[in-house]
Amino acid sequence: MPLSRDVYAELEQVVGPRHISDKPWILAGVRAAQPSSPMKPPSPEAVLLPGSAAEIQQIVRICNRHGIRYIATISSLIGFAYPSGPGTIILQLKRMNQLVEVNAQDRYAVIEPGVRHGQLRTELMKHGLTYPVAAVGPGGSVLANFACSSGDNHCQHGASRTNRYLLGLEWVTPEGELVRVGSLANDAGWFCADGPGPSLRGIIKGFVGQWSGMGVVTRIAIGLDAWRGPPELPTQGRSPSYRMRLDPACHKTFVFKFPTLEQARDAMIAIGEAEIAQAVLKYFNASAALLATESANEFWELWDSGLFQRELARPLYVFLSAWTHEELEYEECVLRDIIAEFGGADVDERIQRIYSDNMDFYILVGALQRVLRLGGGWAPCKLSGDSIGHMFEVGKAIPEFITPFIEQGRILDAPDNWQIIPLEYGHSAHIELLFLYDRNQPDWGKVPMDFMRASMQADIRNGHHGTMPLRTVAASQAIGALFSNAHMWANRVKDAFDPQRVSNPF
Amino acid sequence: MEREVFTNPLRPEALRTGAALLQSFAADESGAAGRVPSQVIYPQSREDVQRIVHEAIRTATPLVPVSSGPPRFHGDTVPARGGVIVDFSRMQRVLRIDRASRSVRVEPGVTYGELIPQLRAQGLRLSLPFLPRANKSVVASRLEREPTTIPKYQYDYMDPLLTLEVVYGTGEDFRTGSACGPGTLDTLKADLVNPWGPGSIDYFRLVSAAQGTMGLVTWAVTKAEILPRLQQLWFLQASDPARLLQPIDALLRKRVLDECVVLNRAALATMLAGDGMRDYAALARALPAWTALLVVAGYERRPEERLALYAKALRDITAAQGVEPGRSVPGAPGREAEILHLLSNAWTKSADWRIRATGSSRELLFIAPMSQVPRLAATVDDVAAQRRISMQDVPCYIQPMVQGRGCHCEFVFPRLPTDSAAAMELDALHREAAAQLLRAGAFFSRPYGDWAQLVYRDYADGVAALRRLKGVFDPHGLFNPGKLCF
Repeated sequence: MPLSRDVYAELEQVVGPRHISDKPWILAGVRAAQPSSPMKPPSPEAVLLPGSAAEIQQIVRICNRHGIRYIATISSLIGFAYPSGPGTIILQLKRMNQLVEVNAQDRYAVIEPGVRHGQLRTELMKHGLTYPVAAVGPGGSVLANFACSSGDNHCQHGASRTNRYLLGLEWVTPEGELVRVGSLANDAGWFCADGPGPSLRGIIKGFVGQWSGMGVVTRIAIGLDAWRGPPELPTQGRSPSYRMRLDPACHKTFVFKFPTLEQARDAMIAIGEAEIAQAVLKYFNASAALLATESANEFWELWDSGLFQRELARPLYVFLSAWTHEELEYEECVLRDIIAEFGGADVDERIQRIYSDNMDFYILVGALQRVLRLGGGWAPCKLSGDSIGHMFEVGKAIPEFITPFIEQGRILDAPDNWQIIPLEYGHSAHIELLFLYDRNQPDWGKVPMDFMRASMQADIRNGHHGTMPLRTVAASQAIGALFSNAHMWANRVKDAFDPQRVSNPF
Repeated sequence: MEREVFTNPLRPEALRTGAALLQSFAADESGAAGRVPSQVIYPQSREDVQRIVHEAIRTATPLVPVSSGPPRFHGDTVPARGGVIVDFSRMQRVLRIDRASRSVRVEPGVTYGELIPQLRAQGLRLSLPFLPRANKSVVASRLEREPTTIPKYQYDYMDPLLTLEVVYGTGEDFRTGSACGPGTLDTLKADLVNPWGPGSIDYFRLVSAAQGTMGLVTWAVTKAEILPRLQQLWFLQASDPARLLQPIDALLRKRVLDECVVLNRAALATMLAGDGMRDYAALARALPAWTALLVVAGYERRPEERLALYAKALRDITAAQGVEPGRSVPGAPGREAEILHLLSNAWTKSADWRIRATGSSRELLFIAPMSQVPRLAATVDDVAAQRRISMQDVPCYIQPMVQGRGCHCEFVFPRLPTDSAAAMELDALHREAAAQLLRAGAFFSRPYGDWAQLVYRDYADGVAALRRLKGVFDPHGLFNPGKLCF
């Protein structure tokens, strides 16, 4: 359903001719499928680059008048950023890239959608501040990560998900009204997300975001934490083989292995109860091997050696980050007590060295794209949260459904390639299973859905909260009733705010 | 057409209609204008609540939920349009205390007075509001986003509330976060501690600070924390709260503190005074203008080492800020153990510390970034000075929140119930101070009573959005009508 000339002209009048296009060679760039996905998204009808919230309001109102669907995006790292049907336009927000304010005193930063992690974190470290950075790489949009998509990150043990750090925000509703959410409502600044009264922030983002399905978030504030490192990261070496060692008097990384998952779990809980450490992870082992190597051949050499399978089947990664040497010593004593109590041991020195050389987990996991190298196919699964204990229960049940996929050669033989990241000193945790597959296989396109379906079925069978129900129509209709009819309530809210269903429906 | 009368859908003993009881719900400390409810009904289960909602739908009867015992301060439980009080005080089961996930699931009738000892027996504690009254509902306190005294345990303003079960205005029930499923609570093995979602909506936020207008919560899960083995209380004193908030900000950035609260002399004297407030005046004369109560703690592993480490950090950081902490409360030496006890327990010296001085009070509370609180607090002093009202015996406490990135400030104006002229003068001060505070940048995130008109007056877009939500979750408009912008 191409846009009529009249509608195109209306949109062009809002953003100007330089910031709209329906040229085939431009659209080709925004309909390219993600390499690991079999989905071939339909082409958008046009791409617009709005420069302000006011322009977005006008565009959204035009879309409502003419029944045109719209998707706001920045990094387009996820399938929801692509049209699910014809008659869709893309609002590429990269022109809105102002770091509006860093308030070091009250510990918040105000940003527009186009501000990237690489840009913001670098700036904040100069102020002695930081924030929970998701493992999306330095090019990821901070706003999208905090307000529109997921929220887990590798340093959330001593902090939290980004959900907690989203403060005041400006929101263009699906019908084009501009609403100030939180303390902005009364011109009281950006510091608070909730209120006045019932928190509108609740419909901006839940466990995951709305992926532009509830209008467009045009500006947010995020809360900041104190940064224990230097104003600039002390990197050595050349890309991609950086080394990054923080002051050893205050920072130290450890990788331990445990005889059983239960022991790893209990150690993780104990570390949280003691309120020590910045990062604690039961990390992936195949992904860790990919991050540790620079080519597919190098990976296979390492993987075939069996070192990572042997040493990292049940690991705990711990990153201690202290303000003083005395604090580091105390935390290390407590940590050693816990590891000994629960039967942990140091891993092979070759593995330990990787993390001693790369203490900043942001840098380390920023290279996560390396997982693509192996064959082009990978996807995350599970992606849920509850207590540490329950997440380990979910993890322990993975062999139930993963084994057939491995035995049939449909995915990499890496049954331990899952992570659990606690947050808020162990008050809850996140689980994620990464599976890798080869796009040269004839049925590669079916692997992700088959695998995720099997995973969900296992969770339902076991009563495990291992996967949050997605809001896609098919998924929600199939299983929504098992999740408190969440799909029904989500639809009612959607109908109330987006009666024409133009804001990224899927 | 004659309206149908709400008929008790529960057991006979679940309904009370005594005149004195009904009258007791028609007013509270806020002076909110209300009507006498027609009945008080006491559900004991989620199914009871659903029956009540269905009967309310059938008869178009407003429902006003109440969980805490009196005294009540905010007018949120005073029926603006009559109806039935849904009193949750008989839903008082502690459903689960789980040490491993550090969480507790309780029904709305469970109070701080009941829950604190049960948690302590299992080596746990709650992050408490400042001196919560013993009959205050834990669920209501969490739902209302009351500030708590340990800001390091708070990662946003919803914290420490986790998941909950709610009955909406359609009569349907719903569970939030990881409590949503899969399946029923009987088959679900999760510990119900992930508050977000399900999916793309944070449903728990939508019922927060809603004064019961969005749904009736039938249980909630809240965080618990490890009970410290060792605690050490420190004091800072100053003539100006700004001098205290700067070092506290530095301490919170490094997560040095457990409990942390700043009190003016009237608040601390009210807290410490003995029976009948006999020694209040002497205490108020002796205490500094402002005192910060700061606690460092050691937990289960190497508690002595942790305590020593964090006490040193406290001394070093405050010294760098030019203030000297003390171990003895200035003006009331020897009361340190008592202060620690008061900070760790429900208030039992009187019905509520806020009405201790005269038997009645009005509260003025707002939140702001910590850096703005001294300026905003001075606004209240200025309004009082213009009206020639003494602030000398007005308790004020300043509660850092959310790792110190925000701050709650609360004034408690004592009121003599028998002095109507003074009460009118106080009401005028209260209104004007709120208006001035709003203009000066204070945020009334919990807009009770008259404040709702102030905060929603210039928030048309937000009000429109809130009303759409209200239409989804309470389509018949039965839940506590007349409150907020509904």
